[in-house]
Amino acid sequence: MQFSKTCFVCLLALGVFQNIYAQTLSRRAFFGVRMEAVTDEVARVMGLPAVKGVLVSDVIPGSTAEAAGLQRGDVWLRLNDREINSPNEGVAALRQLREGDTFRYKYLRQGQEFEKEAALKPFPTERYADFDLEYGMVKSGEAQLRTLISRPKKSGKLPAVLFIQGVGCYSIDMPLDTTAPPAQLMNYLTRQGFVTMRVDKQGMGDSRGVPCSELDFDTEGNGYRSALQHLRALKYVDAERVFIIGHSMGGVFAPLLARDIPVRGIIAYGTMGEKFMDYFANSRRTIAEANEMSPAETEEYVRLNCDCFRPYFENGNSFEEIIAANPVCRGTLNDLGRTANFWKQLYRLDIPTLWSAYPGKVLAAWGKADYISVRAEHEHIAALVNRAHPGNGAFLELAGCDHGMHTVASMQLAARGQAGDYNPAVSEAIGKWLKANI
Amino acid sequence: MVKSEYLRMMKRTALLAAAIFLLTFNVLYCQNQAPAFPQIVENFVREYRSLEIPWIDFDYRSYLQAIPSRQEIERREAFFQKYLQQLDGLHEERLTASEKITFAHLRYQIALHLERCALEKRLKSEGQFTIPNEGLSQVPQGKTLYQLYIRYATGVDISPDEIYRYGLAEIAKIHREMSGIRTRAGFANDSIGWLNYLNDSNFFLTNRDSIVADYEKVKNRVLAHLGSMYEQNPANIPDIDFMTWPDAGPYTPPGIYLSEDDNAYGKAVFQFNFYGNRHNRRTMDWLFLHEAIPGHHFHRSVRENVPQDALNGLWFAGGTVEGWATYVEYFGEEMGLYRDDMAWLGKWEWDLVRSVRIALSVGIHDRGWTKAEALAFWKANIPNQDDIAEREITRCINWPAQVLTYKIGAKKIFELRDAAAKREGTGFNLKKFHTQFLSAGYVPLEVMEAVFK
Repeated sequence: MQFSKTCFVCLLALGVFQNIYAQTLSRRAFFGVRMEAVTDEVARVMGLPAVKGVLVSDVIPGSTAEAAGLQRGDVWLRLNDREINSPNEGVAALRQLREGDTFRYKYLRQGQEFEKEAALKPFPTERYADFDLEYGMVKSGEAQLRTLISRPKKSGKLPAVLFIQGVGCYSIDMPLDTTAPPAQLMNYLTRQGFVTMRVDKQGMGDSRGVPCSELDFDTEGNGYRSALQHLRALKYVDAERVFIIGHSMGGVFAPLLARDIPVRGIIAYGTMGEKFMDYFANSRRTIAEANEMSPAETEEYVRLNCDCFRPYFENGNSFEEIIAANPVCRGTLNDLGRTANFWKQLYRLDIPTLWSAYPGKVLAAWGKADYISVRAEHEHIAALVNRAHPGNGAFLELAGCDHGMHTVASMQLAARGQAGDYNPAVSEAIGKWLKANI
Repeated sequence: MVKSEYLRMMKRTALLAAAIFLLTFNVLYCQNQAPAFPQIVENFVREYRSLEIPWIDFDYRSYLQAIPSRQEIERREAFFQKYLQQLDGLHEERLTASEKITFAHLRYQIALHLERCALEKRLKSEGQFTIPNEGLSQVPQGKTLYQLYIRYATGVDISPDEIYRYGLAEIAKIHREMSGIRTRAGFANDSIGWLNYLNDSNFFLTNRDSIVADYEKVKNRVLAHLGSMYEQNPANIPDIDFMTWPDAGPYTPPGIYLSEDDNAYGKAVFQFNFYGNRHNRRTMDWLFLHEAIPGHHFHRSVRENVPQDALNGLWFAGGTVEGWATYVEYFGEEMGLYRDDMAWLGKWEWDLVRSVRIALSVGIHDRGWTKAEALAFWKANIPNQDDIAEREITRCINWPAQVLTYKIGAKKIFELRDAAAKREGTGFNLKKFHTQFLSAGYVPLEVMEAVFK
């Protein structure tokens, strides 16, 4: 009997432990090197004994690599039992590791090999003096997603904003660059009195699950759905005053989420207001314009892109199949960074109907230097919303802003990579609209 | 005189004496306490760094976008005025020879920055305007801004008209040189044959390892001849290695120099364009001279071995760096290179591109040429290089004066050399001139006048 009681206590303790564990998500490792491939030429120039390893071209101050004594010019050969022979292999090996893990590493310096062991430092975090930023986690199916929730130093239930990022496989948790638009925008809104939430996709940042490049559209949407529910349930959030800011593809997820979960308003920046294939054609046309193609070149570019990509988006045909049927597509088709299934699911989505069905307030904002999305589609979103719910939709054009919310004078400049830092006009415009619709 | 009157008078006298004393003391004290030149420079550098004033952006649209607020411009202006006054208060003749160079450099930069502040204030007064994509001629104050760009980029005080005339003269000279080579090669009246000859596979080296070996031979030949032009012992020059330019594309320039600080290989490298697994043999000699020795690598190694003043590293002297590397291309024969017409032809082929670019720069930014007019000018002056015309014209538009650094820089160095030769007569020593030039470091070419005074 005594034994049983002890076991019960043990199980209880284990349960508590598991529960705590389930609520935390360890930080990704901060290794902190920039890498360059060791080619036969690099090996010759450096006098290396073999073409293997990866060249450390820079070490970031404060990183694990710096603490471990790695230096610029070292050739990193091995991580634990894994040989590293390219920057991609290095990144993939590091992705498996988390803060606190110890690791063995082998490197070559001036003809001599060294093997050492070190503990991985956690990736730095954002910290602010005037508000709290909590690193949390939400579960979505089997996946664990990193959340960043900012909270003004105010009491009572506060209005809140969920930020949904664009289509790319990037992390919104980038403490080494807080000048990036998501951090800048969320920080501004926090200072305006809003609770804000960012969430990383599966496989990005600290989030666990499938690699982002294998994540489909519906599963990604489920992650944002979990995040929205979590935000609404926070005791310091006023669930009746929760908004979504959808950036680019995030602007497609926003009305989709709002179909099931009440949301007071949506701000969609640089998004699509037509069905995906129509958007794709419009977008290619704008890209051609930004790249100063002639009218004839533009038509050809748009036609070719639509003809070549349509079977991929619609049926998930492989590039090989498409090229076999239409060899001219060889120079057009390129990897868009997500699975065929992702695009197939998006292709079938009736985006205009989603906007018509949404009963809340909508701001469709477009940067005048955005050559990825299209002005007319944002005007269309506002019109669709107003037709179904008069007075609820608004369109806003922001001069000097590109697709990524950076400062740049024109589409042409943006297309040439001449954009500057985040444009604070985006924060001001969104903050103003939120205050008016709170 | 009553006592009270006497006391009042004494008091007045005492006050007057005190006032005179204080005034005299103050004057003497202030004179003694005026900061010495090294202190002025030290203070300037510290304050300048803290102001974080960016160098004028190569791309005029990025520059125009980033013009700060009027308040910030005025803050910068007050800073430069303060130091200009301090420099004006100095007796230049009392400075040491090296201080005089620093003095000239600091004055030059302050004047340049003040010009920029004045222009930025005028641009602010224009109110909001759309930044055009067609060049400075469409920008308010565009002509003045172009002249400012010329000075920032080249470090030479030269007018757009003079640049244009020089560009046309150089184009004509290079055409004559190329025509002579064509005639000697037996293609005087056969343009198609000449074109086929130039594109013959014999000119294109396809074995990467043998190209590296060839560059090693070029290096050894140049090092063996370096003593005829420069005072530095070739043994003191750090080694430079050769490799292909990773990820080079069809429009990547022929080569690039990466100093030891610019790569992780532990030594300087010269990367050559091997796009399509081929490298043009005609480019090898001039490219080595420009990128390696006595060009960029040599320039840097001399500079590293000579103590530099406190202004070192604050500003970029494009005209000095690229001008020197272009200037040395003319010394191929002295360096044991250019041993056949084809090596010279390679030099002229690229020099023609550079000369056309400087005329295009003036045409676009000062004379309002359209892109079509620029393309017509290109086609009229450069045969058979239409493939890079678009890239080069876009570069001329986007970066108003960067393309001038090579030719205008080299032109100024020739002028400095000629002036020194004239001044010194039979005592002129070219090796000494080169050594003095390189030892002065990366200062604007106008400031080099002070070096050779």
